[in-house]
Amino acid sequence: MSIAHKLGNLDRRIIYVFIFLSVIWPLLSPIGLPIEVLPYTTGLYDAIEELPAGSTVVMSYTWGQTELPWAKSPTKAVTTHLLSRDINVIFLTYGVTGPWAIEYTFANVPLISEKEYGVDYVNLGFIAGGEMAYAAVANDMWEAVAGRDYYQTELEDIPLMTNIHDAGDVDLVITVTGGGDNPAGHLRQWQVPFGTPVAIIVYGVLFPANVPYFPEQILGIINGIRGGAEYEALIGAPSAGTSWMDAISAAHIVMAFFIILGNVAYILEKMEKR
Amino acid sequence: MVSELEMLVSIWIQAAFSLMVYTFLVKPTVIYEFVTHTIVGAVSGYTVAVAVRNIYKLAWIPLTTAGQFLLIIPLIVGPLILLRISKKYAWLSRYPTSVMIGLGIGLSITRYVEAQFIMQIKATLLPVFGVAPLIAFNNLLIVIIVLVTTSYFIFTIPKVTRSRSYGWIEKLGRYAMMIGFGATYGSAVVSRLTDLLGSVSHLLFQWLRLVPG
Repeated sequence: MSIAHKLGNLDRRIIYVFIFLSVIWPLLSPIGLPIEVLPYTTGLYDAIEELPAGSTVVMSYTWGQTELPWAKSPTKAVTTHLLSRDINVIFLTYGVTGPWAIEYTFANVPLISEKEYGVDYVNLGFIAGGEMAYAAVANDMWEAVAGRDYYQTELEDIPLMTNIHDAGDVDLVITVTGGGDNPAGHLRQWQVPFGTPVAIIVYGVLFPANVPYFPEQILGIINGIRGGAEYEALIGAPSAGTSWMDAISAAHIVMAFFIILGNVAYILEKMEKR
Repeated sequence: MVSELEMLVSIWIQAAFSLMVYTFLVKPTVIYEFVTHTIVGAVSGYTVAVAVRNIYKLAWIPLTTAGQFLLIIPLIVGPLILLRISKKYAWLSRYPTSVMIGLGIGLSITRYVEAQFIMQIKATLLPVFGVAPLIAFNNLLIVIIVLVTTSYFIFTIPKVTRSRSYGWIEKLGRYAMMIGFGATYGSAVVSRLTDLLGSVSHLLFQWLRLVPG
């Protein structure tokens, strides 16, 4: 068996070992590689910086436990930024595991403890229905949640919701999603009829598909953990995202090496057959 | 609030399940099957619980306390979708399905034209003069790629005529799409790596309690 054939048919467990090592080493011994902030991230950052104190932003979640690895960094960074600028935040979710994600955000954003529930932020809970849910919330938020928040408090008793009834009363909607047509759905149901600015925090796979909407329709796109690391750099609060970027870079180098190795082996094998 | 014992049990269960899933890297095992079935079962049970709570909050309470009697309609029609599993009454599940599909299409199609068609065409009208050279090149590239990619899908002209007269445009369109798919694949790789990082990070820092140096 030639070397080219052996290289082209390398036992995949060898590759797994190298990937694991490339991930574990930088986690245990951070390198501190610089992070370049892309315009997709600064788009959202600048949009939030331009919002005056007292504005209202809707954070719409469609993620849960399985999306935690990539979602925790950007959602924590963006929520921290919003609250630090005294912007009111309405949390709601269109995913079944979304209520857990909202509670996770409350437990892991330290600034939340300095804010008052019902005045500075509110949790409207889970609204089922996909596109119908986006439209229902956009047209009449109170009706969509049957007049109560996630903890069954009447919205009449929540000061934050006094002047917020539809998407026209909201200054920005940030949708966090790991899949589906959520970003485009918000463009259709929030932006087209009401003109509400839209920004998104997405799983990496969805990033290329949503780039065409930037910047005319979507103000900013936070690209998963990478975007989270960039946002942490912008707000000066490095956290999980920043610490994981070294590991991601190292793993990519290993993967690129094996891809090149595989292609070289393929070409060599073809030459041998001739 | 979660107690320390609950947190400890949670960490150990998560670590055990992560390690059991990794056995798949050697070969598919019954341990891996056990974990996947457990997770599917847990998620299904959680979904049912959340759905029941939602129906109670959004339909039952307004119906019984706020006099919104029209909510009796979705409370009756909605569960009919579960009759899909019955051979005799499966036809009844078509009613709620058709309502959902009809509503979804009706809501999306009216605004789709502006949000994802007209606005996207407007966004493609980019300046190539009077801007910095790199931006001009980038804009020109975008316009050319949009045109060659959309021309790939003109199937009303016979293939022979297409190949003879503008086959090179189709080829360019195909290459452009391949580059796009490559970018999507690259993003998918980062995404999967992130999932691995989450698992490894939990094992190292929460289960083994290692400290980064």
